[in-house]
Amino acid sequence: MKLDGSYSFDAPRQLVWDTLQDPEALKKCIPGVETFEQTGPDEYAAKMKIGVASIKGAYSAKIKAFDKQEPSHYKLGIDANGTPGFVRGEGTFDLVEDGPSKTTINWSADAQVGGLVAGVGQRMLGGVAKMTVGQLWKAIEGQIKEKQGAA
Amino acid sequence: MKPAQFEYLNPSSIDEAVSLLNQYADDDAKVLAGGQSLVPLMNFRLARPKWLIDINGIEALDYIREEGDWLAVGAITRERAMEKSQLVADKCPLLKEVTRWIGHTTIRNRGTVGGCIAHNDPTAEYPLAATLLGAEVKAQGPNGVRSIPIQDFLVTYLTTALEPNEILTEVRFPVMAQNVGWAFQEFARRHGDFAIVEVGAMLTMDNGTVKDARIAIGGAGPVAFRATDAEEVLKGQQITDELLEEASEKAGGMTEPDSDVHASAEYRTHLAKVLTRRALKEAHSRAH
Repeated sequence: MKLDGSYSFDAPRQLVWDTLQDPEALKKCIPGVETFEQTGPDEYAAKMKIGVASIKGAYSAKIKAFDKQEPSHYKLGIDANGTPGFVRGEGTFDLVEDGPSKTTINWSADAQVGGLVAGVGQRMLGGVAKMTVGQLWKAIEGQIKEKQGAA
Repeated sequence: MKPAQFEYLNPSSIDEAVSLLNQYADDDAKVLAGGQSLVPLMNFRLARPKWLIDINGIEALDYIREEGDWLAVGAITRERAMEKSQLVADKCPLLKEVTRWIGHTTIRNRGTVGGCIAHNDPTAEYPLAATLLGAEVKAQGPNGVRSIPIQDFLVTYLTTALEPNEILTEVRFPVMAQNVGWAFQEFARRHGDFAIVEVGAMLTMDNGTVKDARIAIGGAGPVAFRATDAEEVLKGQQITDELLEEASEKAGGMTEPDSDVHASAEYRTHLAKVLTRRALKEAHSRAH
């Protein structure tokens, strides 16, 4: 499954970058996250409930950030297993400076989805995944605003 | 396949159902109507509600009534009843036609109007018909009954504006004017499969020009939506092949489809255009 999208923040690029690298901020922003722990440098373990309406699956995920080029580029490797199936893949994130306080993030992901959710949920998988990523950016935007307000 | 364990509750009145739902809303409660989507999802264990509140025993939710300019349909009215109802055929012929496209007869024997709309599958026929007609949804919760316009009700994939402690009790469809031309076009790999794309159209003509146009598209985005850009192109114009082409292009431009194993995003957009043109042509031929 290949997905891509973009999202614009009314914030300087460095602030967007810092927020995206901040485990505490991510913990608050990842949709359906239950636990989120740093397990090593740029390595995290998370438990989350992902899905839509009453069709939510619990997943344990290992996340690793790599290929970091502050403040404009990074990649995430994800390996998640759960009751309805598994997700393995890689996401690429590029932060583009549109102005002193305007930043666009362009993202793309290539993931393998297997198990029940891939078979039965196939029709809506891509759409729901995209929507979930959209919720993440929205929450990140909220975090950024909070940081801006505090400063 | 068997579902995960759940507790079964079968209230006999709307008030009792709402009170049970309110009690268990924060503890994974789910309302069971016809069960034609929910039960397979439970059997696959993709849905694991803890509490299942079965509203099939609430006879007060089973009706098709004409109320002024509206056709009021109770939540657990079977799809098969819609198909066979003379009142539906007379007042909202489009609904009779779309019903034929829902799954198969055995599914329609159990499947309900309220269940279909509350489930809000992006390719389901009733959310599309409700969007096209401009329906309203009645929901009852612990604080009483509220009415929600369909465009506000359908939020995104399988998600509606219903609160966790609200039950959909009625869907109200506007009665169709006698002179309106209408059509419904759906493409699926086999009859009874989930639609890949579906389009409904309604045209009101006045002395050879379009007085009002409504177009709704399903299967080409998270929820059924009105192709308002295409509607605007048609208003006040005479129907020609060029105009229909322009309108279908506009309709295609409003789609936000995803690719999956059944069809690519490009193909879905293409289908939306072709089906819009066909639906408008057919609607035009029926308008008088």
